[in-house]
Amino acid sequence: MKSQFKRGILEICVMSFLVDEDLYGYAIINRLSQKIDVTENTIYPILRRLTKEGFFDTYLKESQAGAPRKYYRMTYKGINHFLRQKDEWDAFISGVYQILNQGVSDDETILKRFKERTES
Amino acid sequence: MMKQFLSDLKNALKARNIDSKSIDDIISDYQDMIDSAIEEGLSEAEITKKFGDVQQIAEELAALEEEKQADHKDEPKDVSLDTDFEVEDGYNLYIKLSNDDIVFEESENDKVHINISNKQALKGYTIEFENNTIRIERPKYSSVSSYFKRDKGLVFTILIPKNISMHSLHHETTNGDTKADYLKASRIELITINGDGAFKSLLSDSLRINTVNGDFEIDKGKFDELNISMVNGDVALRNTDVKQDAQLKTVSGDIQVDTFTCDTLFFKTVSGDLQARETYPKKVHLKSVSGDISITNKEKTPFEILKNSSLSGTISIH
Repeated sequence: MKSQFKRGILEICVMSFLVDEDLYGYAIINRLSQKIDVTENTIYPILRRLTKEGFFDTYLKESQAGAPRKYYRMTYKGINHFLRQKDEWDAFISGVYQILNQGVSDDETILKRFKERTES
Repeated sequence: MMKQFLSDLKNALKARNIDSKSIDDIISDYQDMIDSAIEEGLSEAEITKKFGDVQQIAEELAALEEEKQADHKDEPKDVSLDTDFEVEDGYNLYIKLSNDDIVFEESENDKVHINISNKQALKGYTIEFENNTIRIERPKYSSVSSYFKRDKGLVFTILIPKNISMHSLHHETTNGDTKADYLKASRIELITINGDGAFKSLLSDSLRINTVNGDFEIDKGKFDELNISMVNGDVALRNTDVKQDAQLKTVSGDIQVDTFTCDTLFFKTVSGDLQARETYPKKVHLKSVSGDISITNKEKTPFEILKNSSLSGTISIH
């Protein structure tokens, strides 16, 4: 997949974590890596980018173990941006699904349809 | 721990000429994340795997620093652009934008004047004048990745000459907001997904508003025909006269009407409410699934109710 495209998707995912709570950097990476294979992608540059854009701000908070952690917090600018991106993503992905699945979603049916057309 | 990773990263950043303050910043953020990961019991190998390739991290961070510098180079950024268009009676205005806001203002001048907030950001937009039609269009998307292009959005201020008549205004936008203190055209069509609209003194033979989430507000409207269709947006209409029919359609958005006249008022809703005061249509055609409808008037001028179906919503007219 094109890296800019994938980065866009990862950005939305990262932003969605921060809708409900403030999180520290490693927690974001950890949550993302539970659902998506992120080994070939780098999440920190995304955090830095979104912070630079003013979508997140940061603050330090003591952790139980001692050293203070840097927490990321969604700004109003950020939530607006997230909602816009999410709408565009929803519209885009629903179009993609409609095209790919054409009413059915399992591989067998799709393959059968192709065979019927080519073998008759 | 993780000394190797941090020193590799530092060297990779240095090799890409990132300034030392940013490097310190980045390294300290990584140290922070490494500490958290170790607290949670991860091994060095696991952490390294989660963080990804050092060279790729450095590459992306370098790209980010470059963007930052490019932004600075463009300064002063807010250089605006002003253009005049010599329109004639019956001209058209066609607008299709994404995240840009529009402000319409009335003008004594005999030209349409367009001011754009940021000339530099105007790349890819079409602004042309041909056959008495002004077209303003957003850049055409060329690839899927542009779905994620960060559009900050421009502000277009459009001065509309009072003494030249506009035939049609077509305004289509995704997220941009629209504001007008005075606007008059034979046909007005406003289409938005999330964009809001606020209008004072809106005059047209036919006004059509189509929105998904946008909120619309009209004060002092005069129309021959009015047609509003929306999904979640709310609409407020005040001091509005419609010569013929007014059609208001909503899925879950609410409609508020204050001081309003028309021939037949069609109101169709699934769960949105209609609250009307001082509303004097000749006929009313109401249809609601669970939305509530209330019409409260001081003068008890009777009007004919053509259809009055509501599954669970209440309809009260007094």
